[in-house]
Amino acid sequence: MNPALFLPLLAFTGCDLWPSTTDSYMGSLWSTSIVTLDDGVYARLPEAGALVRIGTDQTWQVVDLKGAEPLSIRPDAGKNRLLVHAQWPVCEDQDSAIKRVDDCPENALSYRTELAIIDNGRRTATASIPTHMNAMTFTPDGTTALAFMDDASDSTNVSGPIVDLSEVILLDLDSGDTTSVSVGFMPKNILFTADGQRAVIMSRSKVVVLDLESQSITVEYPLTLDADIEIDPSAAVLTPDERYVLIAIEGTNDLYKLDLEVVSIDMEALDSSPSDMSADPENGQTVLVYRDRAQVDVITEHDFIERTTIGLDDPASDIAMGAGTAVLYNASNNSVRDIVLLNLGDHETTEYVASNPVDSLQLSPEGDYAVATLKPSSSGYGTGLDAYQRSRWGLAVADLLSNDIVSLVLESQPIGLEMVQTDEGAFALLLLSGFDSLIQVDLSAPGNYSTIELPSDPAGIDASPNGGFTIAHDSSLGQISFLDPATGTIKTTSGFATAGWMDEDTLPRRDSE
Amino acid sequence: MKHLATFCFALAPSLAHAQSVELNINTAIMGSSDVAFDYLSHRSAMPATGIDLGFKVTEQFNVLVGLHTGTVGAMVYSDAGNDRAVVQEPYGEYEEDYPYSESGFELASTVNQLQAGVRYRFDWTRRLKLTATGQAVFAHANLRMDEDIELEGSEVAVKYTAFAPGGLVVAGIEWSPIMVGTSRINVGIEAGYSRILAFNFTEVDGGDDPIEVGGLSLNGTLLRWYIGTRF
Repeated sequence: MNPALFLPLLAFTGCDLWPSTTDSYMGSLWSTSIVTLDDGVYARLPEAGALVRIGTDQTWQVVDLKGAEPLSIRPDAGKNRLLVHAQWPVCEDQDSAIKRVDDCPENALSYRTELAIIDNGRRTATASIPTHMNAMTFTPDGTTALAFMDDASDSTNVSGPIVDLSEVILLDLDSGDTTSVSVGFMPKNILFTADGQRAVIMSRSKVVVLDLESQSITVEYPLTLDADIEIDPSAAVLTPDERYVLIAIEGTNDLYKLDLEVVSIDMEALDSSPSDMSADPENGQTVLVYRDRAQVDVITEHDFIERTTIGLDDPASDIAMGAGTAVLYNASNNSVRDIVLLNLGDHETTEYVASNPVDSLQLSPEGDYAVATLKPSSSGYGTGLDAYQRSRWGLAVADLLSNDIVSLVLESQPIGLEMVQTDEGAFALLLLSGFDSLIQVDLSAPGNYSTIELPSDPAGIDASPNGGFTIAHDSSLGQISFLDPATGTIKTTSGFATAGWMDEDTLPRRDSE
Repeated sequence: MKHLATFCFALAPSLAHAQSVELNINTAIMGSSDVAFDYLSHRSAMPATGIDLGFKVTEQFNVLVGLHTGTVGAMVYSDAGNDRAVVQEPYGEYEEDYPYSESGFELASTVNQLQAGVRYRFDWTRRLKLTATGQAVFAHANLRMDEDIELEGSEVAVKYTAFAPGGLVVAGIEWSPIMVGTSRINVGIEAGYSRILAFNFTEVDGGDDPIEVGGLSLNGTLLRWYIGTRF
């Protein structure tokens, strides 16, 4: 037989183990917006419609949400429990042949939502909180959450046959029991007294005091008597003695002072509308800054408002409070590079000038350093090294015990910054976009940094309640590293994002369970 | 598997009297209606190449056993949101958002099949025969995802394996262009239906209990062609 007869088979028998002739497109297998709790790291898997808990030793598990798909996740105040907004499909057609979501007739298919409370990897309670209640604050003891719709957030997924835009939902995190309280249109700022007994809730043209034990409104403060006038609080603070609530109003110079003991409202005329206010419990004062005025006001006496005005070189829009100090900076004006330390004991100021405008600022755990990420300046590049530095992202470290500030130039945009205090001092842990190392900056000598090599490019960093850090990587199949800052060691878990992604969308039949 | 073994035992006495042997090398395309298969192939088809060995048990029937393997795969891109580009125009420059996809991972699956069954031949002419074949299939599949992130020693790669039984029924035509004595060279083509139960892939190292990754089914039209010999 002529072997040449078999030559045509060569056309048929080619076998490429990695054929890449096809391109497929899909959504991300996992979301790098992870939540680190004391029992593990939680991540959403949007393609699979699942939630996974990831451990340090290359292990993970799918959290049973009873057929629901997680839409968003957040930790509770103490990072002990996970709160999951989830939705699941309901098919009114009870035909037993309908096994998958796609099998259900379109007119019989609907979706329901819930807030699932996950404790140690298990769904311990659920609450009926619609997904458009996208903001949440927690009482000081962490047992109760107040959910409300934050119109400033990008989520405007209003759902339900009837939507009450004036409601706040109180959620018992142990039982999942909820109570709805109507507090006023678009509640946006909630303050708690230190004993956790009362919540002060601001909304349009109204402030209410909510007794958290009886879950009822005890006092209501109208901010205007004319229903045609809409007053939106822009900033609010509880005074250190917790007797007064100070409220700044958008577009006016009036400062509202609400007396929580003797129910009354006073108004104080300021020089402008404050952009940020903070209480100083150490000296019993309140600090106010203005986006458009180069001054800081310190209210030293709240009964009869007595304030001290201290001039600044440039306006400050934000406050970071230390122990008896306030660090003032401006994250909203690209022409301002000042960082100001205000000593609240003697009202002395120390000015630090960073190379570039501030993007964000954090204080070190013991308050000795202010660490700011700097953004490229939009104008005034200059020439030479000035231009080089101002056109790039940066990191500024201000030593608050001296007048020193060091501005470092970064290779790319920072995507994560965390502070850590060890026996050896204070450090900033910095992640840069597209840079596959974690940079550890010694805040006492910022130029002397060290790097810890990462397995791949990072996407974000999250602090763990046990003092460690979790780094999410820019990896399609899922990759998370666990950093022990004391030893600098990293453990990595990979591949968890594939869990369930090829599963059929099975229709959960909760009614029949 | 039990039925397959029983079937083979039943044919064993006939094998002892076999008077001719056939040997084929073939290539097949197995269709799939599984939507998950679309990630691997837009054509929703799995190729398979292999070898069949047959023994004559009666004038028209051959027992046929074969080994086949095929691989299919894709480069999977995932949405990466919006990026911002600086657009330079004669009158100045401006920034513009644009959506982009970034390289995700390589996805591939290899299915190995052990097939056993019978082929019936009807003599149409001396050189042309009509065939009908039925085979039981025992298949092993792996699913591989490999993230080429171009960093030495850092890539994420996962591999899952699963077994599944199945079967196929095809009919076709066979032509013998060369005949020397009792030996002949055959070229044939067959079409029909094949069904392999779902490969249920699980991650077994990720936790105490297996973690389901998902299923992949091969069930649909089968087309195969072969070249071989009978003597």
